[in-house]
Amino acid sequence: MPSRSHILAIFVALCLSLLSTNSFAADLFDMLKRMSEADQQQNYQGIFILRKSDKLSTMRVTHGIDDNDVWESLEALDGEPRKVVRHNDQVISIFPERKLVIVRRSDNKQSLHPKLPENIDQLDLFYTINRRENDRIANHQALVFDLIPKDQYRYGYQYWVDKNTGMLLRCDLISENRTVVEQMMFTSLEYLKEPPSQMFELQQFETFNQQVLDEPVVDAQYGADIAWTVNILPKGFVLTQNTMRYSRSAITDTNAPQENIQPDLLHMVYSDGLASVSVFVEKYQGDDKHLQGASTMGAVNAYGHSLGDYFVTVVGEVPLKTVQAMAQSISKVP
Amino acid sequence: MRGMVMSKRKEKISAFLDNDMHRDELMSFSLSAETEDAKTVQHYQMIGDALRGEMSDASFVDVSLAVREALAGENIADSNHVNQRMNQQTTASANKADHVVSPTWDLSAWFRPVAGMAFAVLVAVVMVMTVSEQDTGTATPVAANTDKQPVIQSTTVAADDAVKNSKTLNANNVETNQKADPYINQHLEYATQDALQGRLPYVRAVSFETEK
Repeated sequence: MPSRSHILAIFVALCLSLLSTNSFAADLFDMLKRMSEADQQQNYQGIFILRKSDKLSTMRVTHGIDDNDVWESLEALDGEPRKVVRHNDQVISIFPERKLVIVRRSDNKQSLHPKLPENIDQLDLFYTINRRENDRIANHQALVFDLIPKDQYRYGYQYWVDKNTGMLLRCDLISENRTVVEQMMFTSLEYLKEPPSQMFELQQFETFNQQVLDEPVVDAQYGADIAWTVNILPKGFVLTQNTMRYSRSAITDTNAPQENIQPDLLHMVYSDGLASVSVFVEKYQGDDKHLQGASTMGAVNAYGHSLGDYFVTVVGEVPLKTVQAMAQSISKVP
Repeated sequence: MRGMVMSKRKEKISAFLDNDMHRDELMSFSLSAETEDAKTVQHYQMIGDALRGEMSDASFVDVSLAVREALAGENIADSNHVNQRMNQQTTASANKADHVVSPTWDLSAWFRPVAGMAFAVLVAVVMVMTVSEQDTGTATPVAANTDKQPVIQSTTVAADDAVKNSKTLNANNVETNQKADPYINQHLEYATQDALQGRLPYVRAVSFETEK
């Protein structure tokens, strides 16, 4: 027969269990924040594998940071030799066999450093957070935890985080049927006491064919009022960014009334704090000009379909059914 | 043999509910012939509704009714028990016997209704959680930033077809790649700003860029 003290003990245990759950979630959010900073603030070199569906590739990474600059090189160790060097906002891709160098400057308005989503504290509403047994990755002790989605409209994530530095050592994206759709894992990793040399001179490739890809955008308006809405969204996805891009011809046509100028492309980004989905709306230019139906690249899925005079393309690292449902539910705000 | 007949009837019921039954078959198939069939139809309809996220309010009423009945049952049992104890107590008093109300008896009288209530609450919580899981899992997810109730599950079947027909973006699919490039690049560029996936989005972007 249970006594009063037994009942009291059960009640206290329940309260403690609730408290520890909240504390665990808070610890994990701290760990996620620490993880996001670790990658930016460390000097390191290593080799990692990247698996997309059934495709496997290996890359060597060298990352450096000092008071003024961030630089990094990624070198593919299988297939065609290729190297991508990022120095602050400049990204240079080198293809030695083709004697080709592609120089691209990323959008200046975007921060060089990744930022934490504003809705990070709500992640436990859409994902079940579990702590797993510690593991060892690339000879580093790792804390393991996973975020399993509470519905089938987003992928699950499993993280292996360096116990000492907070660096992400391995990340698996898990589909709704529990298969790994994408995986990145370090096989070797060495933290450097001093930043590695920047060791990159564009001049050494002056004999190569050089392509300079500037951003094609003439004018981009951020955070403008938008005339489109996505009516079907998985729980927790909120609009985090919207950009309207205008072409040069639209802006330089002085005869056109300003109020009639339409953006060439509307880009809206929705995120639940972890996964993000881009929605593009543009004028319909004919079937052969657009990406019709569904396309897949590892964890990234895309779906395009026409909507009267417009064409909608939705891209994101979420299951195909999510991009399709979002694409098909877009409508113009009356 | 009976199992086979039942299986056939269930198939017919399923076809009837899916509107797949031929008119002649429909005519010959009398649902009212067996009460078991009516139960099966009700059962299938409920499963179908749950999967489509169309659980009617009536279903919830049934659940709450069941819980209320469970509660009522517990109360009746408890009150009978208490009455019985009261009678025993009265009889004992009437017999002028030395009657000391033991702490055990006192706790039992207090514990049983509480335990009964706890059990009923547990049943209710399990019911609510089961329905909630159906709601978030296969049924209607609620948009956080839209007023309209989304019906994402209505496209699930179509999405399965889309999965089968989806084009894989790789070096062999040049035309699709060219069309997809600008959108995927722009998306990945945004995604590289996402701090919660470490270097994965950037690696993904580089991998996409260099594999083309």
